[in-house]
Amino acid sequence: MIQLPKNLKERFGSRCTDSRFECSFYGRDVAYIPPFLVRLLTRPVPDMVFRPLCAEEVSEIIAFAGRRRLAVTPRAGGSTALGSCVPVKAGIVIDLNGLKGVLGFEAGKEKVKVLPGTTWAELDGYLRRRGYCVRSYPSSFHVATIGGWLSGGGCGVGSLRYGPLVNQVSSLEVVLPSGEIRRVTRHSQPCVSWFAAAEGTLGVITGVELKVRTLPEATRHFLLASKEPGGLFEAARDCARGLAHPVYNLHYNSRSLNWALQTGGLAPEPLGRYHTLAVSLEGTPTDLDRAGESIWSMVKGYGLTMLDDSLALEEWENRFRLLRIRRLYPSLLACELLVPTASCQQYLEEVENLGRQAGVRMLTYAHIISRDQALVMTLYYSDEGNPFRYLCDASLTARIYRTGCRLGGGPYTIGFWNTPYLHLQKIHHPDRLQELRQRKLLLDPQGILNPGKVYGPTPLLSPVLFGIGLKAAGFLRVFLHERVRCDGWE
Amino acid sequence: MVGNKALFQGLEAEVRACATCGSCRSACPVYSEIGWESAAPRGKITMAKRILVDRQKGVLSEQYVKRVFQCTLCGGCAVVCPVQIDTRELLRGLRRYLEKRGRNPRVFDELSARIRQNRNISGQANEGRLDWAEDLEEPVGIVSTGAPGFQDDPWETSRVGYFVGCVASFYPMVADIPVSTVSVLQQAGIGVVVLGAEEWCCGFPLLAAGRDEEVLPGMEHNLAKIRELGLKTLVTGCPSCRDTFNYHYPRVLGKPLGFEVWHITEYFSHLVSSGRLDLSGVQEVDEVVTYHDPCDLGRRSGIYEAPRKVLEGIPEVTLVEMEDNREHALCCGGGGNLQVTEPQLAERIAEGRVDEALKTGATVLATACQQCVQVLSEAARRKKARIRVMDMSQLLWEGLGEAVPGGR
Repeated sequence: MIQLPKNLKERFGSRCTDSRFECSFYGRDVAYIPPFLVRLLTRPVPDMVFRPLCAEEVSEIIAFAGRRRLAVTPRAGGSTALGSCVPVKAGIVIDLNGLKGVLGFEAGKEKVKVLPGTTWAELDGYLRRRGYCVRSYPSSFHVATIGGWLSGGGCGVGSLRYGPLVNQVSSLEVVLPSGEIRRVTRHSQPCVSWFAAAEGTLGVITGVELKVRTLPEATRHFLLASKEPGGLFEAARDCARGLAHPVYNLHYNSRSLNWALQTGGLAPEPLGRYHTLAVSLEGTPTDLDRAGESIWSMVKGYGLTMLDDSLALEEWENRFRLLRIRRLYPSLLACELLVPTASCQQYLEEVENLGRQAGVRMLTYAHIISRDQALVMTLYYSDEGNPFRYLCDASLTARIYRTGCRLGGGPYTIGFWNTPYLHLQKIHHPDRLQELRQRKLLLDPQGILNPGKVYGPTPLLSPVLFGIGLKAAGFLRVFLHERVRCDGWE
Repeated sequence: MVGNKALFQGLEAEVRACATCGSCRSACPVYSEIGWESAAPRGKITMAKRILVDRQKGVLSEQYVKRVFQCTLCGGCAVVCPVQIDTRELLRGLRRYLEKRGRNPRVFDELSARIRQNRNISGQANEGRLDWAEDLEEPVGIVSTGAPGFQDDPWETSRVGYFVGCVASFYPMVADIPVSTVSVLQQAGIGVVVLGAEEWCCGFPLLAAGRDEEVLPGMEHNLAKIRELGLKTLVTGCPSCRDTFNYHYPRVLGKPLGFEVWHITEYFSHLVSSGRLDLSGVQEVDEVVTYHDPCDLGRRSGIYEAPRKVLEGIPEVTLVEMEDNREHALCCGGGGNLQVTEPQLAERIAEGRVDEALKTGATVLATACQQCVQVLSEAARRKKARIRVMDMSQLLWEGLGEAVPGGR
């Protein structure tokens, strides 16, 4: 174990630690992975954790790590599920939550300069008090930070209208793996887009300048429902194409998810009988009236049901409570992937068929994030208390990814646990993967920043070993099939 | 819990349900001060999962016990929890778990002994519960007939019991809160009956310490005395006493109390709206007031508007809101027995809340809880802040023409 050097201890005081107790909390994110597997594949507990307050301190930590060849893992909200902010090789965790606050707000230009550890809730609260708000945000609004969401995919509520977060960012301050503090713009080299979705592997973001917007004049929410999903996805595509302008957000829930929530007392009747599409409009009252008429036309045209306004509002307010399903099923396995909207219905049918064959109920929801793409989350129940069953069940994840990829989609983020799919499902075109790797080599030739993520699997997660493991788990799962079916899912 | 409809189905069930998403961190005053993941509700629950669900050996360390008690039980985390966990109950459950294993801080033994011996948290003789009443112009009715100051209740139809609470009864800094409360009630023509030495600690500090069983004697005694009086309405200025009467007692009893328990601000608001308390003719209180929502009154009981309505009814009072208000209000630091286990941490949290009040430009920081008044007053004094910390009753009584001792 590496000791905290005296000079850094003096410099950072109570803002650094090498206590085993404190460090242990930085060795995981929201996903549950059986501890023996984590220990087999990684060294997740850092040797030390620093809580810097400025870019200069981040630079100092990175320079130290470079000299000692220690891995550096940036972390803020810690709300990822694929290990993006969890060390693979111990080393140093930089906890960025101390870099918090708004540095400047230019109302006229609708632009804000913000520190990366500011949560979306905090930034939005700051702006709302001044008559403005953020353009888009994640459903993990209260914990996800500006820097963290940018380093992930940056797609969520409002992305349909404003695109992924990277489209809203005009410049960044980044501490590069060399320790250099650099301001990057959309056109500099490296540019802003290099750091978006890079999961902290190219630099530590220490400042973000992004576009915001004035508060909408009016908002209105609709909840469309149908016993079959086809018409809803047609309506979603129409809305995404601008036929119900000004749509701000589109959110789909599968019937199985609504049914689970309703039977658990977490959603009101009659939601459990339907697939639903929540349509949220923001604009002028006149625009909303016009859009409302278009939505009613879609309801008639596609044979849908329009649910009560109060249900629509409740669905909107629940946008931050997607995780409440855990009250009913505390051991959930999940796949988050991008799926072409044109293929969403087919994806849903295939995944639900897969669930029926496997004896598990697949619970799916999706944000429509552009004209062509939906960010889809499929959840299914397992049992963390039974690591053997849990691992066998996890083999279904690969089959869900395979389905999504075959339909033109792919995993939303890579992190650590999705690295084998880079090869298994050919997530990126080979040229694209090569380009990403070149960026990493250019900026971080020592490979100290967040190693083991994004660009390729570690040896024990190599496609061959991983593939064999998946096949074995899938095979063994067959023997659990009957027991799972008896759990009352069907 | 209102708003987010926080739920609690048992300690282990809630620990399992926690998604460890970390939303709770943003609302946690302790995490905000300490900064380490272990101090956030997520950290505490993560470790609880290792202990209760994964049955890991050797993880129940002294450091962890310390963290579990570094919590004001303010419930801010429950408001933002996407899994709708009543995190306050969860953390109380963790304290009960530790208590059963003899791992709780021993400082609570002293607290328990004080309450057992003196029937209040102060350590003073319970007979002193009515010392504050010496400053009243009109006496109040007391349970024990024959005691000085007792008079027949002339307002039989308007009689309320006033449960003063330990802090207001024994701590000189807030002694004029009950004086103001009773004076306002009397001004509105309400007969006030107090239990005097027969008022025992409601048990809230013991609940916060995870010592639920020790609450029973006080509960049984208080309920018996209140029922003897045939009271239909009990008011209290202490949101925690209200919480204990309205949530904990019925849960233990398995049935309703048989009388209503109101917080004094609810009652004042009721008196104003029913015309019994006329604020239109009162002396102008030319102050800019910001209101601090006590955690047990706001988040726990959903009472946000009643105190504001009363404040707005006082002529010339300008009400300004702090950035974090209502269900998102920051804690004063005085809850969860944090003052007992980590007084300096409680002080830092209180100073943060005073800073937020100062940013509004208010001249008065009003609240509706004697514990908040005490903690925030101390913080304002340490910071040499030019702001008066006052209970609603004090502000109201000042408006009704009575200068509050120790004011400006």
